[in-house]
Amino acid sequence: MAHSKHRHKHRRHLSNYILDKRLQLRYVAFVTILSALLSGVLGYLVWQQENSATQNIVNTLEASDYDADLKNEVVAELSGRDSNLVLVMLGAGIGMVLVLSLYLIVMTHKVAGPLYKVSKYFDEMAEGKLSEVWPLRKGDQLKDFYDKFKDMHDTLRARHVEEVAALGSFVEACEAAGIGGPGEFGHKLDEVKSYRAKRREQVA
Amino acid sequence: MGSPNNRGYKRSWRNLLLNTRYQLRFTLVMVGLSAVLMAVLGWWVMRAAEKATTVAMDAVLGVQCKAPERPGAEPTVVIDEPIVDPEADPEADPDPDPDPDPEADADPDARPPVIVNIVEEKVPPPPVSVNAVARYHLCKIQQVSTIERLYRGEWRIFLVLVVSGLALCFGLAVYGIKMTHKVAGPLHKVGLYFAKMKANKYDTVYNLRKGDQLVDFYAHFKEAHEGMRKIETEDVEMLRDLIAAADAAKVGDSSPDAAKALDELREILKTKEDAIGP
Repeated sequence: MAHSKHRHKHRRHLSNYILDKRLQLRYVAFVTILSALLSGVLGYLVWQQENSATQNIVNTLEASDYDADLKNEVVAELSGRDSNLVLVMLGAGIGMVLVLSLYLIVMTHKVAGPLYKVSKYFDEMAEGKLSEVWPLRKGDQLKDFYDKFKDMHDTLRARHVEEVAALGSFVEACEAAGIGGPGEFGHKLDEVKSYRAKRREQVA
Repeated sequence: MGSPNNRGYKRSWRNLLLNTRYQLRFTLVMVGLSAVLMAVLGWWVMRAAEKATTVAMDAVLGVQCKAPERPGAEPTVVIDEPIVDPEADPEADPDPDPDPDPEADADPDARPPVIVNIVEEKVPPPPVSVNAVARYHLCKIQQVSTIERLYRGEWRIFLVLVVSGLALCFGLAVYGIKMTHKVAGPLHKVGLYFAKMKANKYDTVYNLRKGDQLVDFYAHFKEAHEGMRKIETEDVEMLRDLIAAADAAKVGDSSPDAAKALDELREILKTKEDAIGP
């Protein structure tokens, strides 16, 4: 590819994964709350079932004539298992939330990235500049939108280049014919020359 | 709605998918990932619940309910008083033993043989304690109800798991489509303005709909649009002045090349005037 040589080597970096806080964190917050809620309900139900099992065993033990130390040991072991289950459920819930949140941050970054890039070009356009538009990074989303933007930007840029060239042709034709010089029209031509130079810079 | 920069577009379910590729990809991957996570979590949860249920059931079934005792219910053996056979010879050996014990035969004090009349009869069992029966059945009912409760608990976990999994997937799908629509909407709108700018039309840029995302991005676009429109306006002013000055200096009569270039500038001016409107 001819332009790949000039292509900017922007790499994804951990520190700029949150490009649009409002957009990205809104998704993440919603999914986090939903997942936490579901994990919490499921965890509570499983803990309830486990606790019921433990209670049954404890009741059986209490009715038996086993040694008191043995009874205590078994009860301690069972309550330890219950606590362990709560910890595992907590871990599973946090894991689920983390995986989904990471996915959302990565996915929204792939959306926010192109938007950030286009915003930079918009800022340039606001100042009248129409520099060359570079392709998106691999894996970025919104390719269709970016293609539309690039198409529009390239068309505007080409049009401006043509207009600068037309102004140049007029100035050159006037100079070749000896029109201009110190008079009013000559002064106007000087103004056009500096205007043309400014427009040239804008599409550079 | 009434504001000149705010046209009253309303959301409709028919145009929820404005950018199908982006919206469906984002949503389906999110739903698929959630479904996989829920399936893994569900499998683990069901395994834990099944184990807990089995353990609890074993504990319940391990307790023996004490059945009410029925003392004397077995056949009672009653030994009647011995009856001596009147025809029997007290000297005769009632038991013709093929290998008689010589010492027994020789015992002069041996008792005469007796016939034992064994009468077997059923003695009605004593009444069973009502409390014992009640306790037994109560224990059995408790066992059954505990087992049923445990099964119900396991079934409830399964149901909650399936319902919450479906709710998660459905909720994320709806939320994903809705949220991506709020992103795709402004992008669609900006895309329409891109097409106009490409066709050299700089119309008024209207505000986003209420609830749309990318408000900052849209503000950047409005500034860009305004910047380009400003350049077009400056161009128009510059070209008008230049053409007026050229016409006054009769440039077209002086040089055919300059006249040709001037005509080209007139064309550009007309295009630009059309672009920015009155």
